[in-house]
Amino acid sequence: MSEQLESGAPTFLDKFPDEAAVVRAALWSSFIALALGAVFGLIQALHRTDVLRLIDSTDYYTVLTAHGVLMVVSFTIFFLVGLFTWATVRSFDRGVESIRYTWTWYGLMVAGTLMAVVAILGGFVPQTDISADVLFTFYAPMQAHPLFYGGLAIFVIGTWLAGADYIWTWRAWAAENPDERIPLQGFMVLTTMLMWYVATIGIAIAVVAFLLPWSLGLFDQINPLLTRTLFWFWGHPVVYFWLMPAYLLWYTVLPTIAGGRLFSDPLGRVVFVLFLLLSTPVGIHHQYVDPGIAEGFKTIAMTNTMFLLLPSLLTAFTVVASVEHGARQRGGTGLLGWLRALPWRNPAFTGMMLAGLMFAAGGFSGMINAGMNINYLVHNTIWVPGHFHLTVGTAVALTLMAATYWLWPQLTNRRLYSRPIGLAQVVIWFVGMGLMSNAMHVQGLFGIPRRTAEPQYEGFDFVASFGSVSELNLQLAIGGTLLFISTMLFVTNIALSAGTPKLSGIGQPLSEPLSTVDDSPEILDNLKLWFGIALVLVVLAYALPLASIIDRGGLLGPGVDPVPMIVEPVAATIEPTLGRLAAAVGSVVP
Amino acid sequence: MRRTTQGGILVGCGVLFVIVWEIRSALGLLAGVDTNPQLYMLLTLAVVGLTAVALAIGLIGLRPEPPADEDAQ
Ligand code: HEM
Ligand SMILES: [Cu+2]
Repeated sequence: MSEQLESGAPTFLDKFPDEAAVVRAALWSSFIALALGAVFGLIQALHRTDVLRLIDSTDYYTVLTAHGVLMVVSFTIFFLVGLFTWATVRSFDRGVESIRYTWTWYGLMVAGTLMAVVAILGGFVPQTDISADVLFTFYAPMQAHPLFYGGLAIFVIGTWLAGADYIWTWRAWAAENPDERIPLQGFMVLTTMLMWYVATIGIAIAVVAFLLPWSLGLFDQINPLLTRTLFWFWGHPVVYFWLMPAYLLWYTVLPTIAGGRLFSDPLGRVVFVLFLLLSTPVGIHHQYVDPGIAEGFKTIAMTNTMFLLLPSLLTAFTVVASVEHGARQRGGTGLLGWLRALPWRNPAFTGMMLAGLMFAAGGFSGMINAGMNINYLVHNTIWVPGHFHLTVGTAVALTLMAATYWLWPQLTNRRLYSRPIGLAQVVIWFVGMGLMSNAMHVQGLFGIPRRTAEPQYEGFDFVASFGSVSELNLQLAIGGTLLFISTMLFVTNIALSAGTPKLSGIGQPLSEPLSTVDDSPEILDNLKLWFGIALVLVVLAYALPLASIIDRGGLLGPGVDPVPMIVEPVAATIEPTLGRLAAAVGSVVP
Repeated sequence: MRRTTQGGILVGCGVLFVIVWEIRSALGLLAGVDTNPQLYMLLTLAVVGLTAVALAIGLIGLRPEPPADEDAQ
């Protein structure tokens, strides 16, 4: 098997050994979080379905917080910084400016994670007063130990410094190559990090100005709606922060693995610019049922959300076109016959394709979440975890795992321990998620809530319009177990790869796009312009809602009253008209 | 006729299983048809199993031949 790998080209490790060490460290941090997160995931999947109860129901929120935070903060973001370091160094073809600086931000992220995880796990130890059972959506009124918020803050600062590292590399490169266009991977990294800077404004204010001082006892009241809104200011764009590493891999690595070339560099750039612009001014779509935010603002958020579908649809087109090109290069023919010519036995390829397939399904359930009226049907039911286990839990997680099968040899000069196990792993994930997510969606439609150890508290019976609740529970539990097995297979496969012999010349150069950067309008590379517009859009989307929340509830609570259904000025103009209309009708109808 | 590779069978049958099984939910939710869960699961496994066997012995399969570098990275 090793001989196929040998292309004679140097690997990333050969060219940049110092950077490769950081990337490996970041990826390992990510995998440890994934493995721990999977343990908690399994515990809660078995617990809430009453299949096997290893914990007390009162500890459920501790488990759920650990699962959420480890998965969507630690696993995804550690992978992201590792991948982005690789992509930056690779695409600008130069080492980082200061490897000590690079290790510093990585160290900060580790320290922050450890603080937050200690605070969460403290919830299992009744003897301490440390706990953080606040779920990964840590807004008020639930309160965590200051260690948790402090850890989050340090972690986020680490990511900011990581972004600065990429920008630093880019500037140094640009100084030496003033007339060159930003390479595609570098462009994707930079736009994503700019989006992150915009998004984290919300969380930084929420944590540093409100939640941390509140948990330190500096003040005893807080405006819950304000911290919720600031949370979701960050909470939507963070989903694109999870997704962008997967997109980067689909755009720049998948075509090469498929044996072809990226269909279009300009389309890729357009997509990342659109995400920079549109990711943040939509967060209120998570607050459709929050009283205290006028319906008009929610409608604006919904409209912006629907626009956000565009870059994802563009991605679906570009990725499929690139893969088809690869298949035809490999001799595939026919309308759909080319599908056969793809390297399905390669776990990196198959994993990413299965992830993309599930993402399509997740996109559809996401549209339902995004619709303001139909959202009421599924809000806070387990439908919602059903949705995001398809998106972040598969489109992202499975892509990152699959890509690791390709990337790891580039970082270690060793081949993967077992490709067949890798292939089985991605298929088991797909089947497991098919079962778990399907059961979650259906249960959600029957009204079964999320985030509870006892969905059928006190014997409450949900009415199943077909099948039965216990059958769905079983399906959920089996799916969760398969996912757990799959995760363990992945982590062991990577760990065992350390025992395979060192190879040389196994570098895998990435192919050039069919439509190259020369077809991209120069303006796309004007990052200052896009960053500026993104900030303006955020101000437009959030200034009025935040002002009205603070106006009603004050900076520090005591909370807000429900508001009328329509934005006030609109109501004010409509009401007299309606009054006259009613009077007119009244005078006609006896 | 070329046999489908074991990898191909595994991937194909994984996807087939999810599709066939989820049709049960679609039937239940959209058409209001409540199929028997045990029977449906057995049927699903049978369809997937038979497809796998048929692919493995070349009864159904893929033509024309895929390129030889099937497992190149
Ligand atoms: C290893 C397999 C996994 C299993 C068995 C699993 C299981 C579950 C279950 C049953 C819930 C719902 C609990 C409830 O609402 O009562 C849940 C929630 C969640 N899962 Fe997973 N999951 C897995 C993997 C993942 C992955 C890979 C991610 C993301 C990368 C993820 C992210 C989340 C998040 C964010 C929540 C919501 C937590 C909350 O409500 O605060 N999970 N998971
Ligand atoms: Cu969102």
